[in-house]
Parts: sequence; structure tokens; C-alpha cells
Amino acid sequence: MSALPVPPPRISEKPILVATGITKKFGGLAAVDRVDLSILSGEILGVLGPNGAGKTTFVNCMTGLDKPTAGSIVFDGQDITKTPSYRIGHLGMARTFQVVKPLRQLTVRENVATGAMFGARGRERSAAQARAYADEVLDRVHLADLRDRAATELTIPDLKRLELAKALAMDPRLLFLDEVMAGLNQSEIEKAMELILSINRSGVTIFVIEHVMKAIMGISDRLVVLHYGRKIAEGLPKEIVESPAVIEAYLGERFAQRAQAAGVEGALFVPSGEFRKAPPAAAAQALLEVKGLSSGYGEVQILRDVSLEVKEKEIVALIGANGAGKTTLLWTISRLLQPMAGSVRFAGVDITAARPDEIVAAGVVHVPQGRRLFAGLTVKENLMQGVYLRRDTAKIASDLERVYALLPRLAERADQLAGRLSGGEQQMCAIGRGLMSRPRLLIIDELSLGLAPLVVDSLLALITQINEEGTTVLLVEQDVQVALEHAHRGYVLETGRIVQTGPAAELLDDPGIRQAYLGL
Amino acid sequence: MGFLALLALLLALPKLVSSYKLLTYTRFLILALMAQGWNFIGGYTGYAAFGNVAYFGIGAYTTGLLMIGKWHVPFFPALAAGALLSACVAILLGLPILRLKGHYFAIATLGVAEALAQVADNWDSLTDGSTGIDLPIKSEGEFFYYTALGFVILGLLATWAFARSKIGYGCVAIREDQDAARMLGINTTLYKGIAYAISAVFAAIAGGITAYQNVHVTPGDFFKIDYTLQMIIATIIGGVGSVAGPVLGAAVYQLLSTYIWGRFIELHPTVLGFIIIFFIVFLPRGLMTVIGRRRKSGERPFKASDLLANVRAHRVT
Repeated sequence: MSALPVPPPRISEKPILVATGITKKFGGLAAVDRVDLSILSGEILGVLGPNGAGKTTFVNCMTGLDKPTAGSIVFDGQDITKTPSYRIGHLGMARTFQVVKPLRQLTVRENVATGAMFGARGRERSAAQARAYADEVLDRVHLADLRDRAATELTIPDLKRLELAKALAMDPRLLFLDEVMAGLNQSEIEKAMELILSINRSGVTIFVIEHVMKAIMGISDRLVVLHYGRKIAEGLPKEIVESPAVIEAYLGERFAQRAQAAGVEGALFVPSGEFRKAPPAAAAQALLEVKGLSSGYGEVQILRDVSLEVKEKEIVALIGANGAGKTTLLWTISRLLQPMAGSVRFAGVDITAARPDEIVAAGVVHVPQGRRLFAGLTVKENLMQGVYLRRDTAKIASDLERVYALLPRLAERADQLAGRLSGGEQQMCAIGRGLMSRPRLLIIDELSLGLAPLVVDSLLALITQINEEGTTVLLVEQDVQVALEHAHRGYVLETGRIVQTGPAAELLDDPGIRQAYLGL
Repeated sequence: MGFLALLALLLALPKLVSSYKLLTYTRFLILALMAQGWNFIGGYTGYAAFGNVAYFGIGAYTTGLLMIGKWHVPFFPALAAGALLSACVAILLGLPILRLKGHYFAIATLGVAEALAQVADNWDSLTDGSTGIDLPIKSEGEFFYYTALGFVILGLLATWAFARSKIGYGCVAIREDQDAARMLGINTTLYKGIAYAISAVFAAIAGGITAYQNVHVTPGDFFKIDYTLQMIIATIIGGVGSVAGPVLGAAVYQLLSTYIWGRFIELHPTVLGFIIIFFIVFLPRGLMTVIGRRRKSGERPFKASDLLANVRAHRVT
């Protein structure tokens, strides 16, 4: 059923990689369960699946980081099932990591040069040649300006690009991309799509895991869907988004509409009024008032004179390009960063000079970007970290039940180590931990980052629900449409300044915003 | 320029100072040598080796035993044999223990050093147990000074070349993220083994020179954990993962040891403790980052406090 009607000439009938009966068990749990999969030489094979479906584990098996419990892998006619991981690169395979793994204390150029030095056999370079080649690769992925920065100084989207650059520098014939677009905004996604297409057209076969539907629909020749470790569908993109099983397991109705629209017309926007919210009653009290806030890191000023207000029981979306200063603003509100000027008031009290723990005690709880879970603690222990400052011990048990009820997946995984969770489960756990603190204001940085559409939908429903129960929410979200559909009001941040504000529905219709962030 | 002036001064030093002072300077060079070696495994590869004194001891005993007994091997070949044997032992021991991560590796190396001390103590027929062995006497202090200086300069060149080489890049990649390193095509087992063997060679040379100079070699004197601590502290003071850091750190350590602690013998460990805390808290990247230009190629400074943290970078399994 996977045969292409008329495959383009770059795709050969001959597979470059054939995986047969791949199974990977952790303890009793099969993360990957008897998956058969062939990657055709020259194609872009897209892989979809809910968080925890086993996509990354499958790539780990293909690249030797996890040894499959059963099954065999043949790459280019050679059995590589037992090949040590470092030799995979020599054979001509490279990968990126979903949870980025930069060589942190090296510069961007040194990171990429390391890939160029040890890559595909026959094309290795000396240290000096590798540094020169690194510059070429950095130009290609648009990271050239940052080449002398230490990897620690990069933002998440730049780190994702660095992952790609390191892998590219190895001259792979087969490239595994694990969510390289997570956290990018619409225009960055467009660029990333072009980049991936150009890499593919230069002769590299690509296996790409991605939740950004627009991207994966736009670039994939074929799609495979994994669910609970099993392959549940394989076929042309158009067939897949119409498959009821896939809609049920992964896409959800709303995103299915969008994905189908993307597949058909290359557009993502589904005009629909039903998701918009009216602003709450104007009489509502301001809960959070930020006035004239300036902030930054060391000498570098990021935020300039930012003023913003979140009213009681409101959902406010903060939108803006990567690097606009959204995370910096949230960090300054939580006082993880010290403001340079300006004031922050919460519920009428000046908290500008308060310590982070006092701010949490006052009821401002921050779910940070990248989740920041305690990897060595169990899910339940992580959730219980949220009650650290609470005195009302009696209610903690019932709150835990409530979090489990809202996020049933966490109840299933209560005794697992958080580091073992899939990306989506980690995000749920981070939100759950935030809820355990009984926040008056819940600040969420990058809600949908790396999450399956269906999970995003359920988290958004969750946020709407807790908002209706009385929690005020300040939301940073890269998917501007999703953010504005669920918020009452929005603020647009550009290079450290607030440039626009208004009811979310109005912002959604604003031609400037649609052009800048929705690519319309 | 500054470097050449310093070199000229170091070369002329034996003519300028008393033979007693020269002993202090030789000690500094020996410590520098050990620290340089430790920097390969601890600094560039990020593996907190706490047992490098084992190779110091192996170097001392091998050099000594070859020079006495029936062979009467000359000093330099004996020293080379000690270095070679240390490298072989490091590779054999490294195969299992380099699989360990973070503090587990540190504890294993500590155990290895202790075990070797026991071997030296109990293998009476070879080492004469705790009585120790006596080497031929050579009393020219200049010889030891120049020998050590020569090796320290070689060590600087070797470190400089290493940091620019593929092996150097491979080791640093292992330090930063072992899984990422593997995916970049780096044979992590091989490179860790190389770095560990190099560090053993440096310690063995330091041990061999010290044995010849001290004449008397006992397990108690040559398998002391103090040596391990000194080489680590010197590297931390100078700058972990930098080319000249270990030498600079050794100089500072020796200076402090001679001119300050000499006066407060009882407080010695206390003062030492405070200095370590000072550097880890305020100068985690060492003195090199203060005096040197930042980010010169070949400098791979990394925070001393991250030493044990490499366990963090690994997936929870």
C-alpha cells in the first residue's frame, strides 16, 4: 500500500535501509514492537505518532544507541544489527537528537568540525580541513553568524539547527531527524522545510520525525505512523491524514482538518470562529502588572521598557519570534533573572525585589521551557516537588488525584523515572507539577513544544478547564494560531519590546500578524 | 617573547639558586608533569581519575628495579620501560573501569591505586615489601631539574598538539556528551583508553625521576594519595582542559606549599581545603582564563565543578 503512484526519479525502488521485526523492550514494556520498515533510497520518509509511541527509540535502535531486543537491520546490503554505535556514522548514517546534545563548552564551529572529522568513512577530514568544512555547513543551515559562540549560549531553535549541522557535517547518505522543528515559528519552519528539501535533493535519504503537521505534510514522500510501539499506518501523506485510525490515535479532529488543508492547498489556516474567546468582563482586577520592565543577561539587554497586564481569570498569550525575549520576560517575572529597571506587581503587591521562592509562595508558578523535570525522580516525586511550599497538607492528596484525573497518563506512569518519559509525557508532568503548587497565575513557556497534535489539543483543553476553575494563565506559544485561539488577549513581543496588544480574536485577524507569524 | 624570557630563566635557574632551592623547583616540575598527565584524562576527557598515583608508583618501581638487580639498565631506558608498562596497565585496567561514569569511575580508580599499593607492599620477592628498594645514588640536582624541565616542555608541546588533533577533539566530545560523541562516529572506548594511557605515561615519568632522585622507594612514599590530590588541585588551580594550566597551577601550588604552608605546618590541610574551595567557587576555569586570552584554540577549559557531573549527561537507564 506504500508504493508511490509515480515515484520521482530521485527515489529508487531499492531500499537503503530495511528493518525487520524490530522490538525493543525496557523491562516488560515494549517501546517498539515488531516494526517492519523500509526506507527507500532518496526519499523523505516522515514518521508520525503520539508522544511515547516509540519513534525516538526506533531511531536509537537504528543508530546503535539502543540494542534491539529482537529484529534485524540491514543498511545498504550490510547487516548492522550488532554494529557498535560509533561505526554507524562511518557507514554513512547520521542523526539529530530530540533532546539536543551539543558539545556544550565548544564553539558552534568546533561542534560541527567534530562531526566533519569523524563522519562517513572515506570522507573523514583532518582537524584543519574539518574546521574549514564546518564553516560551509554552518552557512548552509544559517548558523554562520553564531560560529564562534559557545554552544551553551544558544537558544533552543539554534541548538536544533546545530544538531542538524553536526549531522550534516558527517556526510551521511541516510539522515535521521528527530523533531528538528520543535520550537520554531512559522517562518522559521518554512526555512527549515526548504533546508531539508535541499539536503534531500542533494542526494541524502531522510527519515524525519516531526509533529509540525504543515512541515511533515509538505516535505514527506511517504508517511509511517507508530502508536504504542507498533506501526499502524504507512502510505502517502494524503492517505495518512484521512485514515480514521491515525486521526483517532494522533491527529485529533481539529488538526486533521488543518493537516488535510495543508496537504490539499498548502495552507494551514482553518478559518473558524468557534475557538475564539471573548475577553472576560472588563471589571476584572489586574492580577499581574508589569511596568517599564528592562532585563537581560549580564551586559546584554534583551527587554526594553516592557509593560503588560494580566487580569484575574484571564488567559493571556505572549507571542513573538524566537529571540524576541519571551522567555526572558517570563524569567524576569519569576525573578530567575534580575530586572534592570521597572516593576512587577502581583495581586497589588510589589514583587520586583522578591526572591523566586517568595514569588512561588505568592502564587506565581512557572512551567519552564524544556520542562526542567528532575530526571532521577519518579513522576509522582516530581509532582510532589510542586507542594514544597504548601502548608495545607490535607488538600495535597486530593490535588494529586485531581492532577491524575486531568492527566491520566501521569497516573499510569506515576512510578517511572521522569527521565524515562517521552517528550509529551514530560510536558504533562511539568504542567502537573505546576498545578500541584495551586497557582493563582500559571506561567507556561512553550506549551506545545515537541508534542503530538492530539496531546496539544488535550493540554489546551486542560488549560481552558483550569482557567475556568479560576486559574489565571500567561502562555507563551510558538504556534501563534493555537495560542490566540485559546487566549482572551494577546501581546506581541518584538526584539524586546511590546509592539501590539489586544483581544486575541482581533490579533488573529490582524493582517500584519497573519503575515508575520502564520505565513499567510 | 614572554615565553622565551621565562624559558631562558628556567634554563639558567640552577646557576642562580642554591641546591636546596633547586630541589623545590624540581618538585614543582615533577608536580607539573603529573598534572599535565592528569589533564588528558581529567581535563580533556572529563573523567575524574583519582588513582593516577598508581602509575607514579609503577613508574618509580619499574625504573628502580631495572636500574638495580642484575640488569643495571641505564636511567633513561629504565624510565621509558616504566612509562611503557604504565601505559599497558592503564589500557588493561581502563577497558573495564572506563566503562564506568562520573563518581563510579573516580571510586574505581581510587581502588586501583590502593590495590597496587598493596601489591607493592606484599610482593616481597620483587619489591622487598615495605622496606623498599634503593637505587644507585646520583647527587647532581641539576640533572633531575633539567630532566624534569625537558619532560615538562615536551608535555606542553604534546598537550598543544593533542588539543588540535582528532584524538583531542574526540576526547573533548566524550567529555561533553558521550552519546553525541558516538553518533558523531567517535570510538569512545578507544579514545578514553588513549587519554588514560597518556596520563599514565606522564605519571610514570614523574615517578621514575622522583625515584632516582630520592634513591629510596617504598610503597608508603610512592603510592600516597597525596600525589593524586596534588596533581588534581594543581590542574584545577591552573585551568582544567587548558594547555599551560597544569604547569601554572603546579607553580602556584608549589609556591604556596613552600612559602605559606611551610610556616603553618599544622594548618596545612585546612589551608589547602580553603584554596580548593576558593578556586572551585570563584575561578572554576582556573588561572589560565584570567591571564590568557579567552577561547584560544587548544584551550578547552571546563569547570572543575563539572568534573563529576558527566554522569548527568547520560540517559537514565
